[in-house]
Amino acid sequence: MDVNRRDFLKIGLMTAAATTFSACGRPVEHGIVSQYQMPEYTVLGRPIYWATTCTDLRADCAVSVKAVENRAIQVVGLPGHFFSKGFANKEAISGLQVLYHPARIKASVGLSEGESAAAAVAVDAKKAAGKTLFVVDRLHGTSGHAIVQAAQAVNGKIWVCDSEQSVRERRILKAVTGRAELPLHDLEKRDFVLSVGSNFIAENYARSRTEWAYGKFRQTPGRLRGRMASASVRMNPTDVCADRWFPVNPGTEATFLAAVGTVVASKGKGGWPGWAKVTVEDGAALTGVEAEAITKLGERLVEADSPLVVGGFQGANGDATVFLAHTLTKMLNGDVVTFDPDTLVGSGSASGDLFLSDKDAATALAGAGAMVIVHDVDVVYRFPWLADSFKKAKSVVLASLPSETTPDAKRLIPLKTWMEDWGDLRVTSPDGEWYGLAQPSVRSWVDSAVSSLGFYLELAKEAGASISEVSPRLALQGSRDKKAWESMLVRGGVWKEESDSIYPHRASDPPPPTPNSGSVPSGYSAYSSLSPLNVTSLPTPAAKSEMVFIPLSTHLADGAMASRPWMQELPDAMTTVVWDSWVEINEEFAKANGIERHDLVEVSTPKGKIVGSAYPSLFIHKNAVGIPTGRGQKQPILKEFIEIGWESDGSNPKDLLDGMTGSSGYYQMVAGGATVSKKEGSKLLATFDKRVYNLPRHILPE
Amino acid sequence: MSASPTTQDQWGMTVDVDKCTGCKSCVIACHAENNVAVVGAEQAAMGRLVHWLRIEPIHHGEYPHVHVDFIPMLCQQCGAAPCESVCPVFASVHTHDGLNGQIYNRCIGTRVCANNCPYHVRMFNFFPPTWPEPMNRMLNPDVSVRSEGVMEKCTFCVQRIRRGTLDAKVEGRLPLDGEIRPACVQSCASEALVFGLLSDPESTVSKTVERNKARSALIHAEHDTRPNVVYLKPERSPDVLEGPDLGLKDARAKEAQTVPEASATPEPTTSASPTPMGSASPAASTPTPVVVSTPVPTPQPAVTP
Repeated sequence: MDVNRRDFLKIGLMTAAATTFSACGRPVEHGIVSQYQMPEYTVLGRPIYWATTCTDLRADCAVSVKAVENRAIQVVGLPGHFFSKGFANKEAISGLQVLYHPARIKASVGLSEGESAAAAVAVDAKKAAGKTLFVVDRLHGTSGHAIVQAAQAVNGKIWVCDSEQSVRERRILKAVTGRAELPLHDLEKRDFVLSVGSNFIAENYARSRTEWAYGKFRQTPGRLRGRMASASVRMNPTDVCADRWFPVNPGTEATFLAAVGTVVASKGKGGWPGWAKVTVEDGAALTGVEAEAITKLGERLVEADSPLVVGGFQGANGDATVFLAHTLTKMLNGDVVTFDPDTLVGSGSASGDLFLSDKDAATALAGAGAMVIVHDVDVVYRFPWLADSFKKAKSVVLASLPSETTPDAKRLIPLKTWMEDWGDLRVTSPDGEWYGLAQPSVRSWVDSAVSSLGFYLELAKEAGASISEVSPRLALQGSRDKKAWESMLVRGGVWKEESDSIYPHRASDPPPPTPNSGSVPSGYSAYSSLSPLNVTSLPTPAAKSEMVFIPLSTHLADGAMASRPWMQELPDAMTTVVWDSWVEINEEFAKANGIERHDLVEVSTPKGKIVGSAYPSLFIHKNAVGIPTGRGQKQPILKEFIEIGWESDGSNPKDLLDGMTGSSGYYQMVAGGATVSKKEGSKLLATFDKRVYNLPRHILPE
Repeated sequence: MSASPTTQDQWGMTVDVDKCTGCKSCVIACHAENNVAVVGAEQAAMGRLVHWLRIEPIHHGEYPHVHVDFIPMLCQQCGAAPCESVCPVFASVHTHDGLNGQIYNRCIGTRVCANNCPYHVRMFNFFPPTWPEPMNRMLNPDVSVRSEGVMEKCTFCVQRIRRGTLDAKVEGRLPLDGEIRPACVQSCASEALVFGLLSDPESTVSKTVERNKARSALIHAEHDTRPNVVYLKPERSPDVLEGPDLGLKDARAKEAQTVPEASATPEPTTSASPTPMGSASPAASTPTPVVVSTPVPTPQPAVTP
C-alpha cells in the first residue's frame, strides 16, 4: 500500500486522538482490589499490600502480603487485628519459600489433557461406593464445608490428621466441658500456668495470639508477673518459658497431674475424678519429682487468681494427661475457655461418625477398594506404617510440593499456595467472631495449579451436594453487594480492630487498614456432634529402667516445613543443629556410656533401628532418647537443595514406632523398650555452635 | 575512625528476654526483608551461617535443675563501635542517626571488623549468594544483595528508617513513634522487641528502658562499646514453688498498694495530634541503661511499675 505524506499525517493524528480519548475514559475495573491501593495506581518499585489470611500450618494469621511488581516479598501482620494481634509468625512468613519453591509440582498425573480434576475424582469417589477417605490437615471455612458436603454425598469419611491432634482434643474437651472446641490459651488473663507434656506456646491453633498473650503474661506494667511451671520428658520451647521445669519419668505425665490434682482436691476443690486420686508420695515415686514440689505446685494453683493447666499428648498417657489438665483447669476456674478456629462457612451439619480416629482411618485405608483423597499431607512420611496400604489404595493427592506421598499417587493434582488462592477462615472465640478472607496476592507462576477451594466446591457439586457456585471468588462473595465485597477485600475479612498495645502510632509498613464494614457470614461447627472421649483410668507407667524413644517436635513441624530453606537454617530451639538430624540423649547417660557429640549411635526399638549422630543434652530425661521429626525424607525435593535434610537414606523417627493406637484409637507417638548403643565412627553434625558458643555463656550481667 | 556519640538522633531497641519465647519469627522476617542468603548444610557445618539476628539459647544450671534463656542477638549499633575503628576502607561507618552503617561497595573483605566485634554479629559472604529460580522473585528490591567477599550485618532495617523518615518529611513532619519498625520488631508477637528513638525521652523505647531500669543491662558493657540495644533481664523464678511466704492473692493485693495507678500501661493514643519522634532535645535526654551488678531478687513476684 502506498501512503503519501498527507495520509501518513492523517493516520498519525487519528491514532494520537484515539489514544488520547481512550486514556481519558473510565479506568478498567479490576477484579481484585488491593488492601490499600487500587492496582491502576501501581508505581513501579512501590509496594502494594494485599490483605489476606494465612491458613498454612495453623498460622491463622491475618496478614498483609507486600508485593512489588507482582512479586510477593514480605508477609507482615495486619495491624490492629484482634485475633493475630497484628503479627505474622514464621510459618506465615516462610510461605514465601513455598510459593517460589523451584520444585513446585507443575503438572498433573493421571489426568488427561483438559480433563477436570474434580469431575474425574468425583467419578472415582462414586465408584468407590462408600469407601472414600478424605485425609486433611484441617477443615476450615467454605472449603471445609465443601469437603464435608462431598464426603456426605459419596458416603465417605474424613480423617483430620493434624499434628496438634485437634479432633482428639475436641473429644476430650467435650467430655470435660460439653463443647467439642479447642482450648484458647488466654495467658494474658492468667497469673499461674502449669504445662505438662505440652508445647502449647509454639504449637497450637492460634500461634501469634498465644505468643502475644505470653508477652502480656510475663511483663505487663501494673500487674503481677505471671509465673509458670512445667513438666515433661524433654524440655521444649514452652518448657523453656517456664520458671521451673521438672523432668518426669517417661509415661508419667498423667500421674504427675493426678498427684497435683489430688493436692488441689484436698484443698476443698471439688470435681476431681476418683480414678485420678494419687497420693503425693506415690506420685513422687512414680514421676521422679520431689513430693514437696508436687504439694507446693498444688498449693500454688489453689492460691492463684486465675490458673491455667495445659496438657499435651506426649507419650502413651496423652489422653489422660490432656483430660486431667482440662479437668484441673475447670475445677480451679469453673470452666475451660474454649474457641473454635475452624467454624465452617455455610449451612449444614456433620454427624460425629463422619470423622475417623487414627485407628479407624488405618482400617479404612487398608480395606479392599479403598479410595483416598489426600489434601497436602505427607501421609507416608508422617505415618510410615500406612505406606503399604496407601500404595494399594486408589489415591488422589493434592500437593504443591513433592513429598514421600506424591510418587505413589494414582492422580496427582498441583495445588496453589495460600498466597495464590482464594479461601476463608472463620473463628468463633469468646472475644468475638472473626472472618478472614484469603485472596490472591500474586498471580500463580504454576499455570496448572488448581485452587483448593475451587476444587472442593466442584467436587462437592459433582458428588451431588447442593453447591450453587463453584468459582471460588464468586462462592466467597455470595450474595454480598459489590460495595460490601470490596470492603471485605480491602480489609481482608470482617474483624474488630484493636488499638496497638505497645506503640501509640501504627507502623508505616503496612499502612493503616481501612475502616471495617460488613458482617461475618454464618457458619456451623462440623465437630459439634463428636462423641466425647472420656478417660477413666491412669495408664501404667513404663518400668523405671526402661528406655523410651520419642520423636522430637521441632520447628519443622511434622515435616511440612522441611522444604523451606529458611527453616532448615534455623537451629532447633533446644539444640544448635541446623540442616541435620540428631539423636538426643541425656548428658549423664552419654557420659556413662562413653558417648560424645557427633559419635555414631544406634537407636533401636522393637520396630526398627536408626543410626545417627549423638547430641548429648541437658534437656532430656535420662531414660529417654529422641530424634527430631521433620527431616529424613526419602524423596529428594530438588538437587540444589539435596542437603536440606531430605536425606536419601532417611532417618524418619516415625520408622521406629509401631503404629499401634491406644484405647481411644489414636496413635501413641512413643516406643518403649528402646536401646542406644555406640557405634564405630562419627558424623559431624551441622551445628550453630561456632557462632553461638564463641560467646561467653553468661553474656547478660548477673 | 571513632564513633560520635553526640549525634542528634539515636535509634535503639529494647529486648525483653523475659518475653522471648525463642519462636524465631524475627529471624525469618529478617531473612525475608533483608535478602539474607541461605548457605546450605555444608557451609553451615563450617560455621558460615548468615543470620543478621539469631536467638542464642543460654543454658543455666545442672540437670535436672536447668533452664534456658533465649537471647536475641543482633548488631548492637554501638555508640563506640569497635568494628568501625578498624576498617581500613571506611566501609564501617557511623551514620548521623546513630547506626553502624556498612557500605557494601567499599568493603574489601578484610574481615577485621568481624574479628573486632565482641557480639559476633558480622557475617561474611564466603561465596556469592544464590537464589535458584524462581526464588529470586522474593528478593526485596529495597535492599541490595551482598556479593562474595563482602561483610554484612543488621542495619536496623535502615531502608525502612529512610523511607519512613522521607515519607514523613514529604508530609512536613517528623516520623511518629512506632511508625518505623524493623522487620524483626514487626514480627515479634510477644512484643519482646521494642524499637524507636532512644534520644527521645517520650518514645516508647525510652519509656520501656525507664520503666525497667532494674532489669536493664547492656551486653559486654565491660568493653565500653556503648550499645544501643538494651536487654531487659528475665525475672525467672526457679524457686517458683518455694515462692514468697505470701500467697499469690496476698502478693497481688500488696502489689496493688505499691503500684501507683498512673504507672500502669498508658492507653495507646490514636490521637489526631501525634507526638513526633525526636522532637525533644537530643542526646542530653538519652536514657542511660543501668548495668546491674547485683542479682535481681527473683523469688518475689515482680512488681514492674
